[in-house]
Amino acid sequence: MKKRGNRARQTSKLLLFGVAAALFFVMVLSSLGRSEFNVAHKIGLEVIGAAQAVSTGISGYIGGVWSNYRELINVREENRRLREELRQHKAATTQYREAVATNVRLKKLLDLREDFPDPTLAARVIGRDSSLWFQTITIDQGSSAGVERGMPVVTVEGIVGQVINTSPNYAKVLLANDPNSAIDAIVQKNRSQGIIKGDGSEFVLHYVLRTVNVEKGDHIITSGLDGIFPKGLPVGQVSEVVRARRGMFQTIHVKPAADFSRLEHLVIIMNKSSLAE
Amino acid sequence: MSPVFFGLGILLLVMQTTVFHLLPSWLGRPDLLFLLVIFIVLYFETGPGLILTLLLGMLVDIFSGIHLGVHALAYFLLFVIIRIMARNLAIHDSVHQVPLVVISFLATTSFIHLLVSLLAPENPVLWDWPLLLQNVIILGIICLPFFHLCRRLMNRLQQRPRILLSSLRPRPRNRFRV
Repeated sequence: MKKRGNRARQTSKLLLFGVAAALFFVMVLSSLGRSEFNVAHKIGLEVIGAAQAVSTGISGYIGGVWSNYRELINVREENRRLREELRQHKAATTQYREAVATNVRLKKLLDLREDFPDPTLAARVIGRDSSLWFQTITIDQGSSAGVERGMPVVTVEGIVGQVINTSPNYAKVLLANDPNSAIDAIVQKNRSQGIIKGDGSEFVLHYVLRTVNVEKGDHIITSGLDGIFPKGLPVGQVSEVVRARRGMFQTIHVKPAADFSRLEHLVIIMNKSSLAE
Repeated sequence: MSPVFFGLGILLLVMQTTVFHLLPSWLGRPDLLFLLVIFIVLYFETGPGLILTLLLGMLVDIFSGIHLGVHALAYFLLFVIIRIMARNLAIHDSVHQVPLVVISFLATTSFIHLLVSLLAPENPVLWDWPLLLQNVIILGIICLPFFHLCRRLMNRLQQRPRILLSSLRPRPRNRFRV
């Protein structure tokens, strides 16, 4: 009797587990290839985004302490008093310098924000893509602040990317150097139009005719024709021009204006564009 | 035990997406979460292991790339293939674990690359051999100490007395007591 009861309990447990596993697998399969977050993904972004914000804050603090320590490591033992004084002065100077640098950066951001006709929102980078093939970042502003899918993200130096997913307090941004990104751009000196695509680290300007004169060092700016990025934002500078013997177009490699490895503070341009979808 | 390893997975994901980017470039960005997935595949029971693997894959999808479900599917296939292999090969021996990690990482990244290329054929993803090999070498070096630490954590969790919810409930009085 007891054995039968145990077996029934085991069977029901197994059945329950099987149903749960099947439901879960169906959920994963149904989301395969889609790029819009469902509720589970949004909860995941919300919870881990908070952890990322904390981790970035802590690592920034430790990094600051560590860099201060490294600056002082070579000072001699017998000058302890002087070293202490020097350390205090250096720490203060570093703090002042950092404050000035932050001030300059934020002032530039403020100037940049005033340049745009659309409202803007400042955001901080809290996480980066850890995989080999993709270029995305997580920022600390989300749908509760009005951030929507498709909104362009820029920095003082130039374009950064586009918002691709949001949760109430965080958002994921596809960087412009990701192969899935495409932005309409022009060569500043002769207004030739092309499409800027990422190659994982830099940009490639596609669809510029072979006959157009483009040289190393030429500036590339956004055209505004895609309806996403405002016109005239810096994209980068031409680093190499490849003209194959055949074909209509030339391949133009562009060094991004923004340093994607050192992104800290960004500006989201809050324009609602149907093209962004 | 599974919730602890799920928490460990979240911790590793947070570290990989924040702190690891501050490391010098020659250290690369070791994919410790992938090592945790391999550990789960090797040492967990099928049911909890599979659920945990799919959950971790789903979490990675949130923070990596633009196509959802890619990592979850890759980790699921990895789980199934290694489990089938484990029937015939002694992959639980530490000698075999380094090549297992190296081959699994190469296979998984190749599969993800292929799947992403199929999902968006107009946006070819650049195959970066130096970066890939750097990651493979780093994972090969750190996998054994990582597995050792995870095994120790697992043993400690298994030895810990389990607190069941049923034991916290007030029990009815013994009806047969006189």
